[in-house]
Amino acid sequence: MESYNRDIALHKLGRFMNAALKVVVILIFIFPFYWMLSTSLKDLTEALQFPPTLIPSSLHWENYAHVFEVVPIAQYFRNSVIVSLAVLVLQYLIIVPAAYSLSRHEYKGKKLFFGLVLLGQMIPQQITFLPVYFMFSKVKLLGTLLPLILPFISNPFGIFMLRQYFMQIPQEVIEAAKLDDASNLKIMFKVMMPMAKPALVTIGLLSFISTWNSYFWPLIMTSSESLRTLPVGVAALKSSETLQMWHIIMAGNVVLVLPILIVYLVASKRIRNSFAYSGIK
Amino acid sequence: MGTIQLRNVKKQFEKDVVIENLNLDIEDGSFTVLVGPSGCGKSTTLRMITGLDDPTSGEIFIDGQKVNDLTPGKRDIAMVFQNYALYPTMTVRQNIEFGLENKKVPKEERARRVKEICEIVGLTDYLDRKPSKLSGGQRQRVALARAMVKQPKVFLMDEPLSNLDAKLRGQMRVELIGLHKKLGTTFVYVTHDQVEAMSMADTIVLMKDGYIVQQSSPRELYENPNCVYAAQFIGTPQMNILKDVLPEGKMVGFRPEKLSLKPVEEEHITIKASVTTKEMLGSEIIYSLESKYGSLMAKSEHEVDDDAKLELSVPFSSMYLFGSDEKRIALDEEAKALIRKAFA
Amino acid sequence: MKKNNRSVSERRDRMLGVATGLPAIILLCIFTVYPVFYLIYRSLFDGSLISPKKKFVGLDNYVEILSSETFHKVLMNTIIYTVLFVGLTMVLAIIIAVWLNGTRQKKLGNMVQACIFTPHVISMVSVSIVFLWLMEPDTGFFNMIITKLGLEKYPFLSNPKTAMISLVLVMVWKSVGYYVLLVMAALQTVPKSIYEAAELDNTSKFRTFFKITLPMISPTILFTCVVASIASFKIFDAVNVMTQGGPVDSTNTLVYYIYAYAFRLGKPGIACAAGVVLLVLVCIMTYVQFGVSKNKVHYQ
Repeated sequence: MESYNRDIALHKLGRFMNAALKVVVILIFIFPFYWMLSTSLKDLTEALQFPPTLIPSSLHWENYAHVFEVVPIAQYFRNSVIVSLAVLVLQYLIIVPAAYSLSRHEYKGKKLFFGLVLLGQMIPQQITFLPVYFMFSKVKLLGTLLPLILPFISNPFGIFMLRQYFMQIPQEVIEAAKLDDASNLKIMFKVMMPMAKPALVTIGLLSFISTWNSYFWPLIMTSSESLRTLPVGVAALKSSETLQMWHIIMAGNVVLVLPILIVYLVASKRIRNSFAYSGIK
Repeated sequence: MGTIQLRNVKKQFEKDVVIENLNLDIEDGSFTVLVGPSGCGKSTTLRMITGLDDPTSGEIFIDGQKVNDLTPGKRDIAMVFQNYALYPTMTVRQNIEFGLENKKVPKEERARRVKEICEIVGLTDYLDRKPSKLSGGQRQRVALARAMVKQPKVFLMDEPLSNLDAKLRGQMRVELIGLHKKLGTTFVYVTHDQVEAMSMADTIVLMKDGYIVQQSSPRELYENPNCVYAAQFIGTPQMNILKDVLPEGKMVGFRPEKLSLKPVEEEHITIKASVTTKEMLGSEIIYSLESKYGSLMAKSEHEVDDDAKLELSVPFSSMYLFGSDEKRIALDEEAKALIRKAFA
Repeated sequence: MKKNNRSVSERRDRMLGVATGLPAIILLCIFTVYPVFYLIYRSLFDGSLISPKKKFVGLDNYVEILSSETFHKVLMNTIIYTVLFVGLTMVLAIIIAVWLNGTRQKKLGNMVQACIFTPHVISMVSVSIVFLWLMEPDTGFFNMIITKLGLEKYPFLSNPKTAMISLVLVMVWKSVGYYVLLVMAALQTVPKSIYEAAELDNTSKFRTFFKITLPMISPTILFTCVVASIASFKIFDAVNVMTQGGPVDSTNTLVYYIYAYAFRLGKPGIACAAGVVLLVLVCIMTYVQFGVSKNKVHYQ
């Protein structure tokens, strides 16, 4: 009987340790966010103080106003929004017909087209950036946001995923629509797209997040301040006049992180499922 | 000794009470079949015996020892799963040996036991294959072998034949019965198929909504069901139950095979009926009939014309009487008089 | 000769197929196919970024980078980074995934999952900047902990010996949540009844993991490792923000090298040659990925 009680106690201890470990892990992954926020609300002296304080002694919200003054963060923000939304919307115009074509039509060269899509998924931007840079330079489009938009609206992953979804729509549904005298366009919009809604949402989420967070490509394609996107702008904070002004840098960082964090808070499960799908396919 | 006892066992999932208060005794060496429709609690009961699920309250004893706090691996039992649950990355040999390795059985002993078992089950040629390269029937044998090699006190089986085609199922039924005779170990078998239950069991435990309706031998269950539910669960087609014929909500029942198309000698009642459909089964014919007491089913070797008008006889010896609560009541002289009057 | 008898509707069907696919085809050709060819072509010339004047030098660029010590270091760094990152991330991901998958504390477990995934959704720039600040040699938070433990302040990113591993740890922090997700999906393909059979076989938790769980998810693990390696070859953002390839080229990786030669040192020919090397690496690994993915389909 004694050993039974002891087993229960050990069991309870085990459970407690398990939960405690989970909390520790959560802290490890949340703390840097907290630190970012906390630093952004300190003043210069407190921010650079050593050892640093865990909680700001008072909340200096004016740091955020300051960061908007020191660098054109509003402009960067605007550019990020324009680029992300443009890619998001325009890509649907390209990938939906493309997936439709690949899934429900037969023509010579279809295999080649699909191969092209696979190639697009395989070749990373770290290989194509230099030739594309030269290309845009030649047509004098480097002074616009177009280099940040055009290469991404043919999202090969999106085409691939949508094609799979379209292929799973039973032929009989399409045939029933044809018997109901629907034009091909109508079939695409009223029958196929609604059935592929989860795919469209996944593609949209992943595309928006990836475009918003993109650093390498905008860094290469934009040289003027007015065209910078948020990640590029915020990264520059640490080496411009705001050098060592960590409270300002962190404020800028919070501005960069916040939109995505909000989206993630709202649709966390959806987003994780989207990433899981893209990783398993 | 492989006796099993469940005392006042209750099982509750969140707000759902699946099993209210179960008391069950399983005899050592018996082939006990838990049978019932899905949701009746038979699988839950089996899983509580294994320890894969724990009872909300109540006690479980195996071989006289209380096992509530023992992990499944320590209860000296073996189970055959419905989908076999073979380890896919291991060969047949490794699958069978796995439990023995955990018990630290020495290598020569293991090899000997595996060889012995494989000969009994007929797997010797497949020892080095992986489950994905085996047919359904072969996988089933591996699952059996894996259970048998552990030499447990009790074998538990959760609908092991339901994933096989009909022919294989029949074969395996015969083999399992033979196996039980040979080993003499307690078998506890779960199925929803009453034919399987009747053919294999020496004790049937008929369950419904988490309690035991009747526990008896197949013959006893067939000849002496204790309620309408039990009476209709066994036998195809179902027993004919006539309501609204007797006063006070009492019901009369008789099996289709006991409904005679020809007149009989012993005391009986007669029912006029006309044939609506005939189903030819080869050795016998199943008739759907209409009478003034309602629809009836009969099973007979004799053939009559379609649309024939018949006088059917039901001997009192084949009749069952049920109360308005659907429980079986005695067919005494008083009851017989009532029945004669109702069917006059 | 057989006459091709195509009905009008079939023809229209074909044309519609081509028409709907055309925009994507054009874009893919412009931004994927053409750049690959141009990259190879351009690598055979020297020249500068600004002026279009260039001279054909054949394989000179390749000779130059392949004999350059810096390039060797860069390749080594990229490979070391990949091995460290993939190794650490996968081991951690498997441990965490198995832990979370088998836990009874479902709500807390879900919270852990959501939290460890969070760094993956935000920008690499954000992560880099935060860790740059946390690892700050004089005023950073980590050094506060270190000094509290009685040790000396440590310059994580400015010490050539520790810069690479610090980089790796930052990337692991960012990515492990994603890989936990993938491993958990693989774990969930293992039917519960197999674990139950193992329980009935009196198998210890350890043995169950190594003899049953791991073999069953190993095709997915392998596939994920290959995919993670391909992603690792491309690392740039963290390097550019945190270390700029230093100190002393200890974190100089392939993409950073290409970028530096193209835009800082003004030698696009060299950059393209290095780009071709990256291309070859990606192609080889993609081929491996394809081969490995064939084994992924397990048993029912």
